[in-house]
Amino acid sequence: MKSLREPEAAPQAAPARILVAEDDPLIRFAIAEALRDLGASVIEAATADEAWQYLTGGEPVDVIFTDYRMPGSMTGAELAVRVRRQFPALEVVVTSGDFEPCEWTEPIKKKPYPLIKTANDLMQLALATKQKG
Amino acid sequence: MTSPATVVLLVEGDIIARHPLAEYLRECGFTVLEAANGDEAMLALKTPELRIELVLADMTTPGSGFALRQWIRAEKLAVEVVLAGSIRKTVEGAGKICNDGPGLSKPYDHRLVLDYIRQAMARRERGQS
Repeated sequence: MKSLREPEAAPQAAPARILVAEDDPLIRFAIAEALRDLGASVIEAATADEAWQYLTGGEPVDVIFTDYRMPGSMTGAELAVRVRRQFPALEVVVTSGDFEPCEWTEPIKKKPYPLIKTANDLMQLALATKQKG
Repeated sequence: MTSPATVVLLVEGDIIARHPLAEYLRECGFTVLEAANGDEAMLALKTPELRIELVLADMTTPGSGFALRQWIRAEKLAVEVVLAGSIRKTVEGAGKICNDGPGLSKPYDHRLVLDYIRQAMARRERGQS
């Protein structure tokens, strides 16, 4: 929430912003806290719908890390496709425990994922996205 | 600071309100867990490793409010519960928790959080219509 305190702060001074969409709260807490420990600003969404709501509210995000199977009107894969279409500058990583054919044609991160390594990879991705502007 | 931060469970069904509220409480020095509904809150509270000490719950969130407080009592969980009936009350509750809490860094005034949430909600409503 640096934006509240310093509304005029330069964008490159802002931390990496990573949105985690995951309906299992214990998994979500774990990856969100791991990312915060690395200095990321983390937005937690419990469904793909919440993630979409947050994004379309105009809030800036660098990377989305979404689970595939979640309750609500869309899966994580559908969210990923929508994000690619409407926010092409945003990086999206989809994670899933099972590999059924879906709308998402890019590689899917296998669950369960190693926590610290995954958090590090997402941070690298977020910083690279930021640099591309 | 070697002692672990106090853990707060924030139960709020609207991400537009939940995220800034959680960030506000984090700036006060709390560890904040975010639950989007009563089921998530109960799952978190049933996990002793999370060491939740305080629950701030929006009463309009499904499964939250009195039902959640009753369940906490029935389970005899040693947590303090603050119920709030509106987004304004939830933000005020967060402000009070911050003032009474660790205060590692002094966060901005909780009324700024309320303004921010109201603006974001208005933007969303314009976007949907």
